[in-house]
Amino acid sequence: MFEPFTPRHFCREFVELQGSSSLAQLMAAILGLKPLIDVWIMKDRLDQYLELCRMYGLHARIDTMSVYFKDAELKGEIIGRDRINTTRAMGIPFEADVNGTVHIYLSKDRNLLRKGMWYPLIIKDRVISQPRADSLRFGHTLGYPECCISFFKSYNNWFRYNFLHEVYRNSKKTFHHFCNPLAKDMPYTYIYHMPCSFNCTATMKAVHILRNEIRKREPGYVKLIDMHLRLPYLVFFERNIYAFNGRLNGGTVTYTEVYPIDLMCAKVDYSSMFREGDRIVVENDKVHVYRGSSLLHIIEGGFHNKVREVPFLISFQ
Amino acid sequence: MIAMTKSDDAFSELASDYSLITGLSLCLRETNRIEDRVLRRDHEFPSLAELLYDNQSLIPLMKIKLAYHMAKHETELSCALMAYVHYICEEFNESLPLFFRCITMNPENLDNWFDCAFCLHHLENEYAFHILYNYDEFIRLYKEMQLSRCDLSALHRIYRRILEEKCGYAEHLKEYYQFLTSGEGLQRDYLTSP
Repeated sequence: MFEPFTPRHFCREFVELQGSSSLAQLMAAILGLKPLIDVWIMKDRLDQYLELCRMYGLHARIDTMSVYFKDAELKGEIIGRDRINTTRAMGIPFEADVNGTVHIYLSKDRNLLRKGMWYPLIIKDRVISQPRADSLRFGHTLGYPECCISFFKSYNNWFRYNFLHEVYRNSKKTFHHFCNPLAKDMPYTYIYHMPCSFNCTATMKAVHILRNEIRKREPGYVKLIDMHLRLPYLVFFERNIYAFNGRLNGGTVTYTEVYPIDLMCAKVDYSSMFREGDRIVVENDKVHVYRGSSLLHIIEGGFHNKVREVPFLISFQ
Repeated sequence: MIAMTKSDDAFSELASDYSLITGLSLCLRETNRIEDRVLRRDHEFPSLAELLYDNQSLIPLMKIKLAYHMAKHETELSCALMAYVHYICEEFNESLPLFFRCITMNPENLDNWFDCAFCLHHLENEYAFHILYNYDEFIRLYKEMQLSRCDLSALHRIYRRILEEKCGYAEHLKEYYQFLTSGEGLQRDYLTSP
């Protein structure tokens, strides 16, 4: 599970060069189903990557280059540090002799490239962020559904909301795996936006088209995506998510394996606790880990800023 | 700290029209000096973006009123507001000369330089990056070189000077990296100012 994936033909060269994360998004751009996407490439692979883009009919715009830090590594007094949530990156001029990560925009339509947005970077002693006007229209530029943009605008505030929990609350009881964004940095996902609900009609419609097109070219990939998206997931907060090889029944997951999907915002990695158990139950916002009938651990969600992590279990049909 | 509207009357009139159209109260434009160590002083750009994103029907009236005020008495504030409206409408070729005018009127205002840089970024102009990576040097050299107005040729001259003086960000990356990872290493005046 969650192993890298190599397609038989379609986009295989990209994966051989750069790995398979965000693969479906790249396929969507090549198929003309996403107007604009952005990717990050190491500078020493950029020329080859751009050659592949040309081969697949994508226009590219090189944006910024950066190097990344973990939060604890940043010791300098940086103006606006509280503004950066997940990505702590120092901007590096492209001409510098550094093998940084290059941010590039890709599109079938050359004219859309100029709509690309600057992402927050630390330059000198200051965080430089894009204007609010750019953030507001960026969802449209990327082709996200209107309802999801509107929901994101209302609730994507990490100082006030646990965003994924808000999406969960905004969803009907059955969740569709087309609307599962939880593993969006892995190869096995159809969407890269946060849906307004786990059964958003507009998202499902777009994914339906994309999935059919990918299936024509790489049927094995579609099977794998579907399988991964239907696993049970435990969500504490955005970027603090686990998947389980098992079954969700009511508020209980019985499982044989655990996969930490994205722990970028996790203060604690609970994987080893979960590996000791074979069943978890979420009750009263606490995660109970059992092996057989023995209770091994009780895990309570922490806080992000002043927002509480509200753990919830979910699986998608 | 408060940078100037030339006439209080002009500001009152502008603020009154602005408030009537947007429902927002307009503040005097403050200069975001680099040594203040503040991210941004202007709050009109983000709030206007929020408002016009949801109420696009206000845009034509905003443009008419702002053009009237600029014709009557052009200030950094009226110019910036018009530039913001164009930027929000993705009319970057229209907003760029207005951002240049804002810099010309107040080159010490970091907000003006960043706004201009992001506009250039959308126009895929390389000076966007030069400004964003060297904002402090652009402000210093604009004053030192006693440039009379900001435009693309002024940006070109400043950047050439940055390269000549070897004071650009690219030349000092190690120093900045060390500062970020150790908290030490930068000797620049604005970093040590109280």
